[in-house]
Amino acid sequence: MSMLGQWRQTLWLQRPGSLWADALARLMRNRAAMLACVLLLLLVVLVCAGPLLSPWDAEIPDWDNASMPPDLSSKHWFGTDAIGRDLFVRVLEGGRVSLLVALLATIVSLVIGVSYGAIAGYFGGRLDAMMMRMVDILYALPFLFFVILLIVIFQRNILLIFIAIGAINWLDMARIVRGQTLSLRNRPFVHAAEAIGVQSKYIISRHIVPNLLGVVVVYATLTIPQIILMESFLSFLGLGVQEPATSWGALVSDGAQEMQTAPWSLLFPGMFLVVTLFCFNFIGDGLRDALDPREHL
Amino acid sequence: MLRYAIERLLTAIPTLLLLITLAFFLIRLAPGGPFDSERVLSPEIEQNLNQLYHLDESLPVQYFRYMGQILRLDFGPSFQYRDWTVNQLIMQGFPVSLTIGGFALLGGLILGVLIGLLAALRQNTWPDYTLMSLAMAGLSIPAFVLAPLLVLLFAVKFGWLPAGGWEWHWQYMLLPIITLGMPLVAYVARLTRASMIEVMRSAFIRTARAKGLPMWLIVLRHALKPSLLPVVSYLGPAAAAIIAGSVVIEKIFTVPGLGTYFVQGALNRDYTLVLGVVIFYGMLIILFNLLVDLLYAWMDPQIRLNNRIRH
Amino acid sequence: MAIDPASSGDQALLQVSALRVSFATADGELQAVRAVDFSVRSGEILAIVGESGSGKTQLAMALMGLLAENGSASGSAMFQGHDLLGCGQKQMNRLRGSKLAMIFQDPESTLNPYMSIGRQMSEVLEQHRNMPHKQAWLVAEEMLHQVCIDDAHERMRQFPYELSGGMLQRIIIAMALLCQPALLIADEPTTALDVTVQADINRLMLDLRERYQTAIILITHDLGMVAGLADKVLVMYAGQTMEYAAVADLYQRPEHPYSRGLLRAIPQSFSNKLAALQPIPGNPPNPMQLPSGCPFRDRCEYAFADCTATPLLRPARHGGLIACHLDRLPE
Repeated sequence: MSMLGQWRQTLWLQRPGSLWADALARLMRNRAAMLACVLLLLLVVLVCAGPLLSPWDAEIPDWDNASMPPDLSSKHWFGTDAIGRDLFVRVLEGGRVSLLVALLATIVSLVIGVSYGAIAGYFGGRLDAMMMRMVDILYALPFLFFVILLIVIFQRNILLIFIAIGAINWLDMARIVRGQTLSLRNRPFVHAAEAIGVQSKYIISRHIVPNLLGVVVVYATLTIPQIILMESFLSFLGLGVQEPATSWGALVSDGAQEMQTAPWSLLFPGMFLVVTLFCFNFIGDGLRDALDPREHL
Repeated sequence: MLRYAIERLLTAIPTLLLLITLAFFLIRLAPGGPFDSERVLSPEIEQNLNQLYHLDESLPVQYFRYMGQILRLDFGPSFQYRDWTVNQLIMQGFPVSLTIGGFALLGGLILGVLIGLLAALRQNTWPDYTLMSLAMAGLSIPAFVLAPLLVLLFAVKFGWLPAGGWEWHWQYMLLPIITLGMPLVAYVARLTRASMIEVMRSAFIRTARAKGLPMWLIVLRHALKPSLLPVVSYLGPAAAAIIAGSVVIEKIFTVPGLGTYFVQGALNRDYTLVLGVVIFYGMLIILFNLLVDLLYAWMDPQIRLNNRIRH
Repeated sequence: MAIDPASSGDQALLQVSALRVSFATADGELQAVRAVDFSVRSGEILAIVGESGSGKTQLAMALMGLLAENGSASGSAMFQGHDLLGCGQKQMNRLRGSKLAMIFQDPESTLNPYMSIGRQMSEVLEQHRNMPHKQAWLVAEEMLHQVCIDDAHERMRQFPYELSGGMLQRIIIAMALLCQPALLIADEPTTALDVTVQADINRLMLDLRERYQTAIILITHDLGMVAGLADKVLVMYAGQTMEYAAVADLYQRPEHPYSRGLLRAIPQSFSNKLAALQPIPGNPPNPMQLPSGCPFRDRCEYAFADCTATPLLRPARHGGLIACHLDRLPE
């Protein structure tokens, strides 16, 4: 095992760029992850372009056709909700909100987490100890409750809420990046850069951050589903997206109310949500395995 | 060990202060002040309220008064439930939440660890693949999707269990506990599997094998403890996740727990109640983290004997 | 000294023949060891020497039944009437730690960081000698005295991270010897240690061989260390035997170009000029794509047309065996 690893390292991984090429090759071999990639791509295309295919509008109620089961002839492909709005369009609109919000919050948490972790790990010593103690303290706070508190105070501005979620979801990222930076920091190329007098900020941005890409990509992929979940969670409680706008969480919440009479109104948004979470989790797992080949040897 | 315990305790104190401070200033960020709401209050009542909550004093005085009050575990009266104090509401809802959450945490841990160990020891065989696929499903199916489905199946279709509500009887507890504990089972199983596999590959396990110890002894005596350490570290976040999850679970199953009060409070803008619950749960998590840290230290001789923190 | 493995079979403690080790990897089969034969007699020290990746460690792992899950071994390794390669997990567990012991390269990671030294030592005796815990603990403590560890009583209660690498390696050796094994396999036992500590450990191994008549297979890349310790040497390259000879013969008149290359790469002493050091140019071949014929030929200064055919192991002038087409190694 160790010998095989050693061989890989000495014989193949030394070639520049081959770490990523190797990782890509391993990812391509992972059937679950590839399937998830394809599915997710389809899903994104559908969510973006799908509403154009349907003649129905997401927000206009149609009381005559309330709670209609899926029906191809009327083009209510997923049926209608309790006030007669087309569910196909609403599920896709909701998906747009869920995905967009997740992406936004993930980017916010990534930017904060990576800079915080890289700075703490790079400078080390007292600063590092202080910054990580801060993270420890923040870890112990019940953040979801604070988010709900924020929502109560600031009314329900969805954008603001998710910037807030992103802003508090960076703790894990910061820890992981800090650990990685600490070990990168002692690599020869960083010492070499220091020896020729390169400024710290350039060492961080040009040498440390690019080498952190692997963990960051993996972790970002795993953060997106977390935030989708959190959004659904809040929407489910009635604290997230407000009518007439919608999201998967809000749709599932509505659907659960009438699942006995109109099970499709729970089934379709629930399915989209679950499939999306599955995809992100599989891709994240696949990426981690691909970038960290220890598991494979 | 004692020094380590004191050190951890000293970390818990600023966390607690931060918690209370954040809460104090958040509530004062509320547009127009904490007791403005849609309904119009007569100036008289408003003045009384301001006096009651000492809003006529200067900010630092208010801050320290508030801090003292919280540290005495006094969360004040509820703003919406007129005749109740927040303490009374917490005492009403918490036992219910604790029961569900406690069982979910305990059951989730035990089941998760067992599944993870089994999968790790049968790595890359069909039991491993099956269990890990199930774990992936457990992570990807949110409780609020699973719960209605379970209700539909066990309550509506078969009529075995009640669809919601609350009695101190196992039938009312079962579905909430299962839905609340499921993501934990999935996560802990994956965590345990990964760490067990890693430990089983380490040099000291090879040494144990070279000593001629039988496999079961190696797993129990050499591998179990180190592979449980990541699970122990996860206990804190797990408790926090259970608490957060209970909010949704209690809503779905209409369980009168603390989460239900909290959501009601949030929707009714009952600041004192919401704040009280946040701080109460915050304290609980801090306390729990402290216990977990001590447990971890007790398991890891390097911390136990050296007073060094290792992450 | 009769070194031919075939002729010394009757009195050999360990008789290895046609040992092959291969690994199934995602990129195909990897042959780590390709048909190696040797024997070890009681109290004898055999050194297996080669560069990293020559397969020497995997050979030892195969003997101990410790190959990774994707690895498999074929051939035979007769040890006290049991074939180590085919006797099954149960028999293997009876032999390992009792008749057959191994010490590893990096002492810092070899011991369980979550168990005390004493617990890790006493469990060997509890397992193989059925000793009660208290007695096993005392015997283990006595063994620490034997390997010249001060404060043995104190050490037993300590944890690995509290001790230095040299101290740990002594403890590991003591642990390996608890049941007085007939054969000890030592995989680069001093590589991770300071030079001064290295000498200590070597002396300890010689001393133990005298005292317990333990045979030792010493695996190393360091021919210099072999000189003072081993009775005979097996030189491996790309999973194959290159030369197999008594230690004095190999040092005085190596017959394989690779052995001589290794010898010339050792700094002899201060009197020799550094310029006399001659590293072997090039790298070992990729084990996934071994060339046909002699694996060493790309790096060999004497390679000629015949070397595209695989050289068979044949008797050498010094009485050992070599695998080389050269009739006589040019001076």
